This record gives sequence, structure tokens and C-alpha cells, in this order.
Amino acid sequence: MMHNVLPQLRAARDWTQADLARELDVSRQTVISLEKGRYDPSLPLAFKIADLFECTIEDVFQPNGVA
Amino acid sequence: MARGAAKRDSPPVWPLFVFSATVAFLAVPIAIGSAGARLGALGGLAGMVVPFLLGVRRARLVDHGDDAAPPSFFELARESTARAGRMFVYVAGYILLVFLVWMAPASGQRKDSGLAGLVVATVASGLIIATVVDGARLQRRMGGVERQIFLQSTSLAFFVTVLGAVAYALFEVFLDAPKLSMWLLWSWGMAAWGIGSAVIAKRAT
Repeated sequence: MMHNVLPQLRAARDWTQADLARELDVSRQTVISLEKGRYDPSLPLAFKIADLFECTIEDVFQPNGVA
Repeated sequence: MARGAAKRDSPPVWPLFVFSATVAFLAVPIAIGSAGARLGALGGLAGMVVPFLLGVRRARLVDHGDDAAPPSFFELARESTARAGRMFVYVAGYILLVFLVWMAPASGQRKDSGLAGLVVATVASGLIIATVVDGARLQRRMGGVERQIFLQSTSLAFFVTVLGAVAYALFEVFLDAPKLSMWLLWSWGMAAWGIGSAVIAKRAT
């Protein structure tokens, strides 16, 4: 599983998990699993997340052990 | 406007009715059935009630974890069963089918199945094929963690059922353990799928 900074990115925009789920067109369960690092997104979803936060996939997701 | 939108988006209540009716129906073989029927019905009951309770728990903790006033148990049950949607219809249909098989006379005592038997068997197998096709469509439409849960629980149920069946077959061969009906095996396979889905979903969140 990968480390991610989704909670920080979401908090910076003052979004709830439900808001983010709506923006990404996924369930709130998916957002919770992503934020807890229990689910690695598919490539299309990773691109969608990066696009939404106007950054690269590497800015959002890093392999575990990489700072 | 937000209130109106929330009302429009409120989950349907029919899956909760289907769930309740099926659970009530399962009480019949548990109360008056043979040992095998009772075991199969208990498997069906576990396969429905465990995911239901975990679904209610998920609705309370995940979907309404931040709410100041959590919804009533009925609302949580409604949301939980609505999420599974027509899967409950399929499970209810399967349980009805098993009940029909249980009620049917044993093959040695059957005088003439005739046209009625042919119609029942054809319609039932047609419905099963339609269910499988619909399940495959449903899986293709799924995204996010739900797809992962569906695929993991399906493979888990498959391996648990197959390995359990092989292990039991060894007891049959070497220890003369009583032969089990295939209907019991399929019912336990479905129960394994239901419980596996709930447990994997709980671990994923």
C-alpha cells in the first residue's frame, strides 16, 4: 500500500470526505479507504485525483518508505 | 432545496422488506425442517444477517460518523440494505428455490414430474443465468474500493467452498462421514460470500 497526502490536500480545500467523494464520483467508503492507505487507487482514479488537486500523481502518492 | 434533494436521494425501502421477508421465511426450515435443511437454512441466515449487521455498523460509523445526531436503526438498516440493492432479491430467489427443492418429493418417490417439473427447472435455471449475467454487469460498473471488495470476496468464497468440499470429501472417503447434499454446499458457498464481503469491507475501511 502507498502513503498519500489526501487528508492534507482535502483539508487545505476545506472539503469533507463526502465532498471529495462527490468530486471524484466515487463512494465515501472509497475516500476513507484511500485516506487510511488501505486501498491503492486504479490508475484512472489516481489521475483524476491529481487532476482535481492540480498536481502530479507523485505529489499525492508515494511508495511506503519514501518521504 | 437541500432538504428536497435529500428526500429525493433517500434510499429505497424495498430491499429492507425483501431482507426481512427472507429472514422470516428462513425460520420455517429452521423450525420444522430436517437436520440438513436446518443446517442449510442456518447458513443462509448467517449469510444474510452478518453482512446486514456489519452494513448497519458501517452506515453508523462510516457514513454518519460525523453526524451530530445519528439516524435511527431503521434508517441505518434502510441505507445498509439499499446499498446491497437487488443482491437481496437474488439471494431471496435462491433461498426460495432451495425451499422448493426441499419440498419436492425425493427422486425415488416421484411418480411423474412431467411438464410442471420441466417448467420449474427451466425457469429456475434461466433466472440463475440472468442473475450471473447481471452480477457480471454490476461488477463492471463498480469502481473504487467496492470493486476490490467484490472481487476479493468472490475469490475467497470460491476457495473456501472448494477447499471445504475437498476436505469434507476426504472424511467421507476415509471415515464414512455422511454424504452432504450439493444444495447444502452451494448454500454454504453463498453464506461464505456474504460473510466474506462484509468482513473484507470492514477491513478496507
